[in-house]
Amino acid sequence: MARTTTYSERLLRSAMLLLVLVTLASEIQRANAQDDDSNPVGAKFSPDAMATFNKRCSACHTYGKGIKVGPDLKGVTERRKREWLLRFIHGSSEVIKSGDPTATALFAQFKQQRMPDWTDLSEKQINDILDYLAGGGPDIKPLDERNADLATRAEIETGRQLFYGQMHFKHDAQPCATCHSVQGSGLRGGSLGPNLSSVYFKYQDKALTSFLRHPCFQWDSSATSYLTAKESFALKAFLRQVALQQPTNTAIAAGRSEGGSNR
Amino acid sequence: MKPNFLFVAWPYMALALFCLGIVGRYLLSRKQMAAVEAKLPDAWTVFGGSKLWRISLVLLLLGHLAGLVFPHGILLWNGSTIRLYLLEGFAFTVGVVALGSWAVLMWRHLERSGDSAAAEFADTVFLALLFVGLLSGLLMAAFYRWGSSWGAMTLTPYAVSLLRANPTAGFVTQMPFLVRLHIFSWFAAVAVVPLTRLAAFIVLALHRCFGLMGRPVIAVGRAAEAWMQRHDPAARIWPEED
Repeated sequence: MARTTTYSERLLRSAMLLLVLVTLASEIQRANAQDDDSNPVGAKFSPDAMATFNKRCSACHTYGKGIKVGPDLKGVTERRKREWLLRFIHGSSEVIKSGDPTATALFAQFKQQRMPDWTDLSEKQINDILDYLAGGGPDIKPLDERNADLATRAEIETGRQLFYGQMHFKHDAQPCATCHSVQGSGLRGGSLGPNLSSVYFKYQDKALTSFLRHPCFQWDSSATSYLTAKESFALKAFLRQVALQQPTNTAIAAGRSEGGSNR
Repeated sequence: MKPNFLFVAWPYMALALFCLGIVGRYLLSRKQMAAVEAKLPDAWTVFGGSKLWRISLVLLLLGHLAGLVFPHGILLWNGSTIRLYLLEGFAFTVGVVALGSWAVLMWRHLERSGDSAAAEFADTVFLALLFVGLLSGLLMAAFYRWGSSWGAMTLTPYAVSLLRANPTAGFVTQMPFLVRLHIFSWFAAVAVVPLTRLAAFIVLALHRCFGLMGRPVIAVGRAAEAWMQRHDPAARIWPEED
């Protein structure tokens, strides 16, 4: 025999249905907002290339600081052909012996000091080093150290989404809005920590970069990763954007730009 | 008071006072359980309160427990703004209901006169501490938004550090006054429980628990006795005596 449901039962079922719908809707929203971090900006050279350069090349070569033992390597990928560089780095003695005019001239110019034959380096490793030098070599700043005024609109938007938790941090850090708010965040921002509307102008790029490399709360002492360089830069860019929207800070920024930017 | 005392020593002291107090009361009254049982209606009148009071208190305790046991789950839930608003709104409403119910409870408590001045005093202190805990919790929610999220990142690790006997007061000492007051008042309330009439419930529960735990021991003893009677070992050990 069919049993009639009471009012409270219907109310409970409706509440449960609403809860399920809300959960589903927010999961869909979250899935749409997932960050695609597969091609991080700034990763145009292998990280190993920098290490290899520092270990094997920097003892005798500089990058833009003049001659040391060997030639300055700034612009070397433009001065010489890639194929020649590959041959020379892999076995300079053979190239010199073969009577190659460039190699012979260099040998004479640098007091007949021959570069070691890096036969243990693969073609890929040498190419990686050359890519690293072509991209700016030791002059390349880590992505998060770039000044926030270089950020694109997309990076600022990424920072906004990370701040409010609409996009999730790669290493599960909590969104800044959990504890902080900024001008215009309304109720979405938390109020445990200070308002960050003017934090960019207070601390500037260098201090903010340094701060963003450490977690606010040591949730897990074994954790080694916090924010990726891309996330850190995006947050910094968003905080700069927010700071610029403050009437007093706009005047400060205008004064700074007149005096030249600090890049 | 120094933070190290409040958030390192005091939680353990409060728990020790609770345990020692309950054990002491149990030892003193274990042969007069009927008298303890007779006090229950009186204790229920003081602390039972309305259905709303009991439900709201249970919900608040379960909410805090959920934050302690499933902090990542809470953070995941709060990942969506809508769900965060739902959770915080619900928790705040429950807190308001609990505070309102507490006012009714306290009003009734002040109206009636008990026979023991000490018990009356202890009950009042306990209820006052509950009030401080509830009010500070509500003010925290109002002034320091999204406590369910930041609490999972700061207060849960603190509670876990306490449970691991390696208290990390740093999670709490940098917190605003209301947060510290909230934590302190709940530990204080726990420490006062053995002095209140509420302890009668715990003492009786402990007595029944011991009774239940004792049953298997008694059953084993009786079974051993019956076996001994059936297979009298004396006859085998000293057959010449037969």
